Amino acid sequence: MENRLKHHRDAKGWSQGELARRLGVSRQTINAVETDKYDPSLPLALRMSRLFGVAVPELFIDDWEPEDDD
Amino acid sequence: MMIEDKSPSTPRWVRKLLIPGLVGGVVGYAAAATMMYFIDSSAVGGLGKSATIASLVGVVYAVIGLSVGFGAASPGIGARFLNVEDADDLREQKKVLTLSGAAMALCGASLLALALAAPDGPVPQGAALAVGFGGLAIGTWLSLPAYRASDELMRAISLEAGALSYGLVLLVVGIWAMLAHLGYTAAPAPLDLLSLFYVLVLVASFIIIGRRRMLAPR
Repeated sequence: MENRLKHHRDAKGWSQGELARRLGVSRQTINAVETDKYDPSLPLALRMSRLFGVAVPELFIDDWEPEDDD
Repeated sequence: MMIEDKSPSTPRWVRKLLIPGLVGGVVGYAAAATMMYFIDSSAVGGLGKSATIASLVGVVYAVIGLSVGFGAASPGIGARFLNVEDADDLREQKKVLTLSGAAMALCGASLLALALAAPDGPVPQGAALAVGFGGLAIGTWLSLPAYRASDELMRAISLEAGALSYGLVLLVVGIWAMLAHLGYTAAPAPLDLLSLFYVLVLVASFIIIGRRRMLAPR
């Protein structure tokens, strides 16, 4: 899933290691999320969203649309 | 704490592809050749096909486990031959890698002891059982704290690899058993089953890591 984690991390001026430390995960996990190799769990996505002060859909972009009932 | 070994004069493909590939190839070949030499020596006097394959699989596990353990103990050197971003990756995950490396090495020693067991091999059956069972039990026990110390990415990979391992075991061992039951081929020997479990777990792990594009040089 496409995401804007790197954009928000860069805006804060944090390294991957700094973000990993703040979120309590490994730097490898941050790298994997930023390069679309891994979609984080819901708890981690929520922590990211709180840390950057943005909604989850602003961090993780999903182009799925619900079907119309009509 | 920033590092280390990113010599700007050395091209990235040399650091991340050529050197690890060469080191892995040389160490792997040397370990397998040494094992084959030992099997053919007067100390062993040759082994059957199942025991030979099992001993080579055990050596592969032991070499991978020791390499990971060595990399965790010496991150500066480990970053040169393990597929990590840099030495900090190894420092950060030292506990997980040390436990995982020890678990793999012990599991390898376990299979090796069983492959070299009497009557075909030189290891008394009682000793082979002790090392075989002890290595597997302690290796499994060590993998529990390693799993607990992992973060969610590594846990996800472990779980996916575990699920795929089960599927591969069911497929490969199941088809072999089916064919043997119907008389189309010989039934697998107990050592063949053990070797298959080991190999299929390793294959499943590589498939899962590869599907996540994490085998590419970092």
